[in-house]
Amino acid sequence: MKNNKLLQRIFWIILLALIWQIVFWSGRFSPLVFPSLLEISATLIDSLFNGDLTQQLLFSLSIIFQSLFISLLLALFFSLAAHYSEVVASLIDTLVAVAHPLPGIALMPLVLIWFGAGRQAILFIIIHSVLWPMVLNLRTGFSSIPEIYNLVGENYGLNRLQILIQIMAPASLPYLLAGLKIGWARAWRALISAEMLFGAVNSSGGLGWYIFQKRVFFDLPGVFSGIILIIIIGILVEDFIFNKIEKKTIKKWGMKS
Amino acid sequence: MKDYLHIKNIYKNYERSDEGKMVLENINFLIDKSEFVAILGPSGCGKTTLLKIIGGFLESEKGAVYKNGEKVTGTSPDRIMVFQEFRQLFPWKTVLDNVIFALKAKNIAKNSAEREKIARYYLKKVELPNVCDYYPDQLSGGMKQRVALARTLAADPEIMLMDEPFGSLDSQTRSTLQNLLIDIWQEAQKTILFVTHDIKEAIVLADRIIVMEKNPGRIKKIINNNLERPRNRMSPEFAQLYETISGV
Repeated sequence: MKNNKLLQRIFWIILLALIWQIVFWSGRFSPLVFPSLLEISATLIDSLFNGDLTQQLLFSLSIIFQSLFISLLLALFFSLAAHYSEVVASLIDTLVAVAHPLPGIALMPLVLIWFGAGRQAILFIIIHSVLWPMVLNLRTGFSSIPEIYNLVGENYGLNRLQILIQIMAPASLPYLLAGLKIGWARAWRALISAEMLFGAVNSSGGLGWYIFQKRVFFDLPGVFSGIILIIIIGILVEDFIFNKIEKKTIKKWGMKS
Repeated sequence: MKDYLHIKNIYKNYERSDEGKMVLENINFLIDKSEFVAILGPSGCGKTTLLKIIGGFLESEKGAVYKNGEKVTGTSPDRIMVFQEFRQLFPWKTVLDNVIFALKAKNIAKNSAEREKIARYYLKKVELPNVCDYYPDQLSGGMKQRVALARTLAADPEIMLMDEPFGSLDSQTRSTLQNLLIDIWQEAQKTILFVTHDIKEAIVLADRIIVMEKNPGRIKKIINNNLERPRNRMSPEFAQLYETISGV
């Protein structure tokens, strides 16, 4: 069943790639704006191994993991504080209501003035994009823990910290994972846009900058290499990391709705 | 030790209304050590509220619960509650780990090997030796309640507070689990307070049946049940007691 799904997906990808290549061979468009898939693949492999694409990729990934980590810590802190105190809860809810609808890109001019165009600026934009939806998810997660788990924990003499670690953490895991997934998707989007606008710092500008720069030199195979790499990373993270974690935890426990 | 557990003069108001409506009014009774007492009544008579007060999950407006003459405050692993809800087990722990949870919480056994041995022992007690590595989600309702029973026994409480634990089971599974509970009770000599709205269940299980009424929740009558064990659900004495209780 699952294998079948994978096969179907591969079939469609091959078909789409073939159509692309046929369009290229038809000569209808100039190779300059519509490069051949073979050329794109060759460029992708060449720039991964010989060019600076790998370096840009690592730069992007290091920023994204750093910002996800900081966001997760902040979100945990905020939502736990809100869980235990009603005053904090109303403050956090107000912050989320104000900040959540604001796209990170809208903050960029301000961030440029405050932080300059460095790594800090990109981090700030990503954390802003990720933090609020994550807080929302964790808040929902904590408040939707069935009361009975806490009653059982209390009955068996667990203290607050033990209830937090042994009961609240696993019980809210489905929401934490959902939050991380949304966080990942939003971080990835925010990262690419921010990199395009902020440009290179010390020769590293990340994937967004890489694509932007290739456009300036009208290197379309280079542009597509960057795009394909972004797609591949997205699929890898979604299908391999998140699905694996879900399979080993909330799916096995019957907690995924 | 007739006054092992003393439920004294309990009054409790409705939590969510300002009408001052009483859920529980002037509840008084004594429980012997190792006695099996059923609290029987229609829904809304406050029997679950009463059990939660005894368990320390709720506070009463007036009155108190005394164990061995000492006032009981808050929850304690000495009084473990078994709920009706199947999801009282932790879904992220295996059956075995759910039982081990109780042993860890009460600091029973020195190391993990010993804890596992004890947990397996109790799972065998509830006749579930082969599902140790399953997750609760994979079990039927009856099996989940067995695991909850094993977890409770593993914590070795003095008093077991059972809130209609078999209320959501089909009648066949319910009878099986009633018999199992009696066996366990006779062997382990625990004090059991068992809340139910099922007259037959109360007769099968309890030494004494506290019959409650609602609006306000009061004790109507306390009936001694001297039927010989094991109790035959078809015997004329059983039917007679049933008549007596429904006529209260």
